Amino acid sequence: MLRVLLIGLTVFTVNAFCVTKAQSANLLNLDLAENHVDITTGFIGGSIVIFGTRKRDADDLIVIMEGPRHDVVVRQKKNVFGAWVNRESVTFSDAPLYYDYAISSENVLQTMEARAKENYRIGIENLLPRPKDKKESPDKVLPFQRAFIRERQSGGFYPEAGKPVAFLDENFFKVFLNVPANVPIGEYTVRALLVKNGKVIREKEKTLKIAQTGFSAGVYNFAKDHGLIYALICVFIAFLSGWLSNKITRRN
Amino acid sequence: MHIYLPIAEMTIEAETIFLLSAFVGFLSGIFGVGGGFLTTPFLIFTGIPPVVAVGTQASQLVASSVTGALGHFRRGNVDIKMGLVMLIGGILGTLVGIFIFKALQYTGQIDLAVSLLYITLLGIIGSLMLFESFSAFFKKKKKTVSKEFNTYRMSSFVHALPYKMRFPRSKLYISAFVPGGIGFISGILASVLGIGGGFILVPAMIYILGMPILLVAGTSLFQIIFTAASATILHASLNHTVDIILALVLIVGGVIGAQIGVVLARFVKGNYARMFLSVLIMLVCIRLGADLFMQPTDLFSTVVR
Repeated sequence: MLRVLLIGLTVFTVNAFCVTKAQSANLLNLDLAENHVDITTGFIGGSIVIFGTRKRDADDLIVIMEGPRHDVVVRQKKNVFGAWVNRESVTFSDAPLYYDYAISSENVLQTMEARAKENYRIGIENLLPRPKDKKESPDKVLPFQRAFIRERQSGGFYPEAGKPVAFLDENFFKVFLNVPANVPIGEYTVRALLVKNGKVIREKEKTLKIAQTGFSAGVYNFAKDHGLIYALICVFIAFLSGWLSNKITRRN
Repeated sequence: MHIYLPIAEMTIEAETIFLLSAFVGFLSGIFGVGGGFLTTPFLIFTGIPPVVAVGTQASQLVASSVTGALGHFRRGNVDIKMGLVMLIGGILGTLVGIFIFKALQYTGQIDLAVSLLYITLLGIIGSLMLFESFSAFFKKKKKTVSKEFNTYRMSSFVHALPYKMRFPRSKLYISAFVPGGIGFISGILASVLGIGGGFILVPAMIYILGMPILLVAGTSLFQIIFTAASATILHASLNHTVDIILALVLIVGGVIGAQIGVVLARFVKGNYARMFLSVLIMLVCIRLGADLFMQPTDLFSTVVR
């Protein structure tokens, strides 16, 4: 009898444990309204809608979107005989061209350790791109890293402050991030971090693709894949319109 | 209307580019100049990457020179043999030009090279035109019209070159290196700057080749068609910098502008118009020079590989 009870109890605790495990796995959920942004000929920008749930309303949320990663060359101009000429350069590897983030409250950033913020890439001060040549001295590289971020900011990326996370109720959240017209095409990642007492306790990630579609995608891909045929078409169109223009002139 | 340029990967206001090309087309309708030397700097001012501006301008050049050459062709003002010899040099020039372009691009000096070349060219043409129109303005004297089959005497150096060929249409017996070399320079200009270089070709053909003035414009346009086509093909296939959408806007704007220009040319006083054009060229030159010689607000620039 006691044995049966014990087994029963074990089963129950195991079950209970499983339930808590399942519940803790659901501490954070994340999804995107659309997992792709289509750039068409009339594209003037748009926004990404990110939503999800958190189990406990005491936990803080950080949502980060970044991508596509490219090698980037930053050059510095120096004065040569009065003219400003590119002289020195630093190449950075896999720097995201787009970065934007949202936070559920202002204090979440203060409660976190600097190290954690750096690891999870939270806030633009933690986004300095890595030089390709590891032997470059940090002192030399720093102004180039800063310049990269400045350049991104002038294009409307890498904002200083995080956007707000909107809560429809205590648990259901929604984030809007802007995608300007000049958004770089490629693969993006969207990460949601659940923060408790300054520690990241859960992380969820989704990928997002921003690509040209329709006519402009056709042109872009065709030009990349069949360069010579594309070139011949360009020349043919130019010939044709030149000839047409001559016809019009003659008629007049 | 916003248009997304698939190759430049940016959105532009179609009206701005359209008005710009119509304006340049209008100028070329009035003055008979190609106007590529104005379009490329204007495109760069609007924020289009210089490499795309140059590559795309080369395709617009094909269209405008086809239009111009057809007119001359009908009047029989093209020396085809001369054009073909120049063309061989021209195509070689575009090949060399594209390698210069790629090398400059790789070392990050392409923007500098493009603006320096433009400053030099525009500065020379602008000041020459300005000087000429001002002196004409003060003298008020009618210039002696040169006879259509007038030719200039060539220097003995030109005569001494080997591989002489006969050009019956131009009534010339000269070394193939001379027209070939002129074509070569035009080819380099077409692929590095996206311009036909008519303002260099025409005087070179008159004073160095000694061609009859009547044949010069048609022959140079005939040659530029194929040199520009070669530059377009090289830019599009090796550099991926020819934006067909941008090219279409430029071509259509240019055609319409040129029509208006041709009609209005009758009401425009030649000398004032030339003065206006030369002042405009000088302004573009000064603007490019200011960008180069004034300390930029940010000394750093970023290029995505």
